[in-house]
Amino acid sequence: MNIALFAARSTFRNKRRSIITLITVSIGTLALCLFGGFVNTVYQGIETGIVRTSGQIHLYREGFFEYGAGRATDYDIADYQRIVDTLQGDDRLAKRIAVITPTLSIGGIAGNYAENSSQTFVGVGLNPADHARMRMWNDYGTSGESSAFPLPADAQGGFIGTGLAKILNLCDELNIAGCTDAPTPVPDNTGAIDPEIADLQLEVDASAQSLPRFPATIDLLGAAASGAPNIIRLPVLSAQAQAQKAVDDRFVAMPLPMAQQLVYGQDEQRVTTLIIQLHHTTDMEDTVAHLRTLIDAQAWPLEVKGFTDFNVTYSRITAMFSTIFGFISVVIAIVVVFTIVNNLSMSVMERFNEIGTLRSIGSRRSVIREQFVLEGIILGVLGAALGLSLGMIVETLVNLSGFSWTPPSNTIPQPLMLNLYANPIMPLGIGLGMIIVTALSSLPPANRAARMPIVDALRHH
Amino acid sequence: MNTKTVARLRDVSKHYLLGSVQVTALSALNLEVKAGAFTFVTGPSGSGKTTALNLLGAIDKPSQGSVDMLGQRFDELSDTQLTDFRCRHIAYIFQNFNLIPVLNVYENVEYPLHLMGLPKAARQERVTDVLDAVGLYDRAQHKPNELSGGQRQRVAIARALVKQPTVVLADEPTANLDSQTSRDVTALMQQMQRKFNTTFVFSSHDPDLIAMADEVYHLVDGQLTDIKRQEVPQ
Repeated sequence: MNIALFAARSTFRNKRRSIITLITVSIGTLALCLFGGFVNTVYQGIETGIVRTSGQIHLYREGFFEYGAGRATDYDIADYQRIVDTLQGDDRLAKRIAVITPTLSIGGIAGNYAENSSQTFVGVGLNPADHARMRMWNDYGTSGESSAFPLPADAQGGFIGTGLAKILNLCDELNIAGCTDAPTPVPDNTGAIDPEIADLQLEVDASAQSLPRFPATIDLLGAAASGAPNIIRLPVLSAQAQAQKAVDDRFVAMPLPMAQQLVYGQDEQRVTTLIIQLHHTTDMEDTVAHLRTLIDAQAWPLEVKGFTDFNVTYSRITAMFSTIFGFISVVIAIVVVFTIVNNLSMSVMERFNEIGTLRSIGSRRSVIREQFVLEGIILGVLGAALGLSLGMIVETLVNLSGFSWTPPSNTIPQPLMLNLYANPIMPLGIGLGMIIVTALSSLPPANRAARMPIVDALRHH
Repeated sequence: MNTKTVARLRDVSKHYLLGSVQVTALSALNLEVKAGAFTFVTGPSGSGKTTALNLLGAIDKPSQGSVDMLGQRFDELSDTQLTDFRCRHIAYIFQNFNLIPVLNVYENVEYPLHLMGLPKAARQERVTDVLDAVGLYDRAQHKPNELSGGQRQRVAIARALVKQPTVVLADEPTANLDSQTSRDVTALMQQMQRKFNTTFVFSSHDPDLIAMADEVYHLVDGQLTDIKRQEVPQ
């Protein structure tokens, strides 16, 4: 009869009390697993949303990340196609990169002068075909289909945020569900358009005569790289909601050549960012390190940022959920601690005489302590195993339920999937943590049993 | 019986605090246990019999005086050393049997040998021998709650004898048994004493049991009032 077997038999001496303790431990484990699984899904949902639109890695000209928002053309990347070709030619990167695509960040004023409305815009020139491919990314398999990228590969126009469409009174033209144009205000002719802008607009109007007909057009006024104002007429093919209202009210996306025409005119065409989408985010750290080595070797004035750097929302949301998870873990641990302490304290009280007997026939204090700690660990192991098994069942049921939700940074609902066992470290960590908590909880009653004077213990019957 | 002393209480007193009142359980008691003898500590309830046995068994410490066994003073040993000494040299038989309910007969008897660190084969041999001796080999797989009072006390005797201790301390071992079972258990202990040449120290006021004593220490209110030595036919 070894001590573990002795402890195992003693654990269920009072079946009702031990089963209640077991249920508490298993429900605690289950709750942590389910919340952990949900948190995993949140992380993956946010990450998937980011990676589909922005990739995992950005290459910028040095200084662009810090200061480029105000002076993008001061930090643009010249001869970017050579850089793209070099990166695509690197064997190690080629295996990992799904998409590498140049983009140009622009800003200025978007106007629908027919409706006498305008709004500052934040825009991006991009390659529609590359971004259509990027939206197919679903490395975790838990996210649903992405909304289709709104521009075809040979798009002759761009798309805007639904908020901007509403501001520019383009709801009807773009046929946006649930969007109504603002009522036409009484004309106010006190303010006249700047003559220089009016001339530019006349030029644009003239050139637009040769373009095919589009549902709507807007005029984008921006500063060219030379510092002079420039204006282009952008056919708007559609509108698509953006995750944040502040972005949605200002967002304009267009094919890269159009954005470059606005910024560079007939000069050398440049970009501000090279977006890299990897097949797997797990390769990011290593890829970033390799890119830095490559950039240093080529002496390119570029810097590399991972998505956790360039998208602070991700870091903040994960930090928030991690804090909540930690808080819930502590609450559950406290419940488990009290349950185990109560169970084992009752057990010690009921077994005073037995403890005295064991001590009198030669059991050391350490053996008594060990036995009660083992009983706590047995409850922890069984409770954790039960909780993890229940977690597997509930995970399957939830994943088959067809529930959906909209993760932060997404605009369309995604299937609600619990991703508990994709990374076994998390459930195993929870199970191990629960066993450690039960072991530590059993120490006070175990010590009490071990320290009890033998003659006092033997007096109890 | 030989005249070699295996255990001794010297001028031992034991005081307890009951609330704020000090109670004297034993007062300047001198007691010697001879090797292979049946030594009895008798007296009315509250006379200090159990306290004397507890001190001899190294499960309690005297307020004054000293206790030694096999020449080893208990007050010179740490708690762990005292436990190990108990494990090797002292065995208990309790009034209420004190068997471990989750262990079967075999495991209850085997448990002290585990504590002594004996290998499995040696344990098995000793347990089989002693269970055979107390007539419970066929009940080896039974749990204590499946046995009668007499059978439980036989298991307790087996558990005490299996480790071949220097001294077996038996605290009113027949108090919870009917008279016939009490006589059977008494006869068994006599038989075991002869078989294993074990020293027994009893606390009891059972006249049937006391009849087989080599030495009787009579206590009243914690004080020794009488010592009787008798030769028991072997």
